[in-house]
Amino acid sequence: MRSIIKEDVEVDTEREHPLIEWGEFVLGLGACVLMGYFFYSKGYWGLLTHIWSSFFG
Amino acid sequence: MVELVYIVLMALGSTGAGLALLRTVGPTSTSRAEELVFSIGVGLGCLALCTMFLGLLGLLFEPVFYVLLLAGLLLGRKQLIGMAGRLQGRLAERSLAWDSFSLCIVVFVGLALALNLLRALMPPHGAVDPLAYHLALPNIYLIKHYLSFEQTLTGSLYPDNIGMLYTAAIGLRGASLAQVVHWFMGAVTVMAIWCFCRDYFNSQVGVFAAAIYAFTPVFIFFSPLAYVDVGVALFQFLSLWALFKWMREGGDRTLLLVGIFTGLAMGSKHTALFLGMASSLAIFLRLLKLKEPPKKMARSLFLFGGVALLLAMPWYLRALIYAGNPVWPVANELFGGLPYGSNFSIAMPSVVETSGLQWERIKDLAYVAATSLWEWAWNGQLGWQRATGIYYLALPPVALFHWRRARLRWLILGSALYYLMVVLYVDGNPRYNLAFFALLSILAGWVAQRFSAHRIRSLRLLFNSTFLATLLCGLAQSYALAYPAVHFTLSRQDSEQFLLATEGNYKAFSFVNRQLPPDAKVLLQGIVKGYYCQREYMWDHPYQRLLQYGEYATAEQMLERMKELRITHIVRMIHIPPGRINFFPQYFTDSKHEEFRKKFLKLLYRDNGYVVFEISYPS
Repeated sequence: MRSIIKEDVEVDTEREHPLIEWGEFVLGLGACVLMGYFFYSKGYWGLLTHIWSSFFG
Repeated sequence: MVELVYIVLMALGSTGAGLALLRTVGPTSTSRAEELVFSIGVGLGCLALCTMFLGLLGLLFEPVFYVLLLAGLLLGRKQLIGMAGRLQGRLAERSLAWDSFSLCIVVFVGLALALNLLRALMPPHGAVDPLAYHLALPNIYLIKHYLSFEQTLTGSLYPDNIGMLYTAAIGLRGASLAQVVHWFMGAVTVMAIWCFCRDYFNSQVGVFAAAIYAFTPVFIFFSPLAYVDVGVALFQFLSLWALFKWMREGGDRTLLLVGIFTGLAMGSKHTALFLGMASSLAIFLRLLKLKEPPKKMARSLFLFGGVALLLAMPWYLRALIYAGNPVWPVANELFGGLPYGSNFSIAMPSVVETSGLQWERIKDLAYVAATSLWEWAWNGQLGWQRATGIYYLALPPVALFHWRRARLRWLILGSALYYLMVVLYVDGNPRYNLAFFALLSILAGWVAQRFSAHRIRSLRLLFNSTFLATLLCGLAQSYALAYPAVHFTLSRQDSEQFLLATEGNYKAFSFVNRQLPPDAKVLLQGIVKGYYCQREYMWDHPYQRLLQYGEYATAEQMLERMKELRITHIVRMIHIPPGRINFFPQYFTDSKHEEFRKKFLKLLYRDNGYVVFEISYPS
């Protein structure tokens, strides 16, 4: 495992391939959309507004 | 609220004992956090095992638990004082080092755990499994002062380390403390995830991973209830952590620790056997790769397996002795134990059983493996025990881009294999496999941290704001679940009033506890939630084989059988709801039960939902 960590440190210092960077960016946006859509579609927005109004009218 | 004092004492006693034991037999810790978490795990395991042995010896009396706590505190007093001082210094440094975003996440996690704690502090109510056996069995053990075999109760011979912690908690204070113990084990798992990530990646990854696990809906829902799964997940996760540590550092003492946690997990639930077997295989392959001589390999495997089996063995031996099947009633077709009305087969995964042809099987397995994570996240019909949330779906795939990073590669491989084991063999139920989600949360946490610190500012900002918004939603969910607890805490209602209003059978059982003689034996008809009954009782659930109504042609024969079983009273649900009609007869419209009632039952009590009868045996 020591060697694994050493290997990781070497990878960390290398620059990512542009395709990986691009793919990561796209998946990052996708993850944000997916998380947002999940909570919206499950009715959390309604729950939040309900709790908000129960506290602050 | 007194439960909070007790849980602090239990935590200190367990940590003290754990620290003392780890100093003697454990490995050198790489950090204070690791030492603390491992100590808590070992200490809780120690308390569970001590309670089990006391139960086997017939010594389950309240003062004994105080002695156990005191022993833990005395045993580790020097280490506890030393650790408190060191932690104080370390925490002060760390809080300064944390950035404001991480602190914000930590505050969210803290609030969610606090809301869960409020739920744990309520009197146990509602949920079936805790009141039917997770709390009911410890309560019976305490009444009888030993680990009796309750043949009609589901789970009476399951491995029960977590149940032993509940026994100690009920003995010390009550069932609310047992719920707080379960909550505490969940909170320790959250801390363990952060500590693990801190050692293997960095603190920020730990903060994200811990938050992802703490906001997993199945965890939020079940951690304050007296189920056992969150506790099992703690032992399983600690065994995985110790295994990683052994892979990195080697050493017999670390392997011993892997064995200890694996044994504690296997002694807590059957499902942990699978992870135990997988760990054995991983250790074997690692030893092979290191080209260790056969003698050393055998020694290492024996050290791990021997300790794990030794710790778990008493539970399996107990089942073997009482029922002739070490995992009774599971796999009865294999071991041929005491008859049981349901077939918990382990021969093959359920999806395989339903398919005939080989290619159909493969297709089914592949479909289940490919869609389970998606189904758990989106399908609300599956209920809380399969509600895993979105993080595990949205984040881990990104880690595949970083396959070259060896630590991630191993984590991806480990998670993938664990996932396959979960969906294909361990019932595909996320509640039974929370340790898998603890592992996956690390992968998700690593990806979240990467997005959070991404060099493209717009992605960084978008991700951070989305992640915080989702945590806010999770917090809203926690608050919604905890709302009755908040109301209860702020009201002047006491536990008795609360239970009379919320727990259907509480009134009837209050009557039983007040009016029936101490040696009464009660038959519960149409009821499995027997926790609040303080007399000896049995179920008439069709899976049990002691009293099968269909075997008796006349009311007199049924009476004869009840006499053999020493049943003196009956508590009956008046109207069996449609969902349970396949399990229980509709007693008051069933001709045989009506004949029996008219001939031999005397009504003692009645409310809207339940009646209590006395059986009139002819003299």
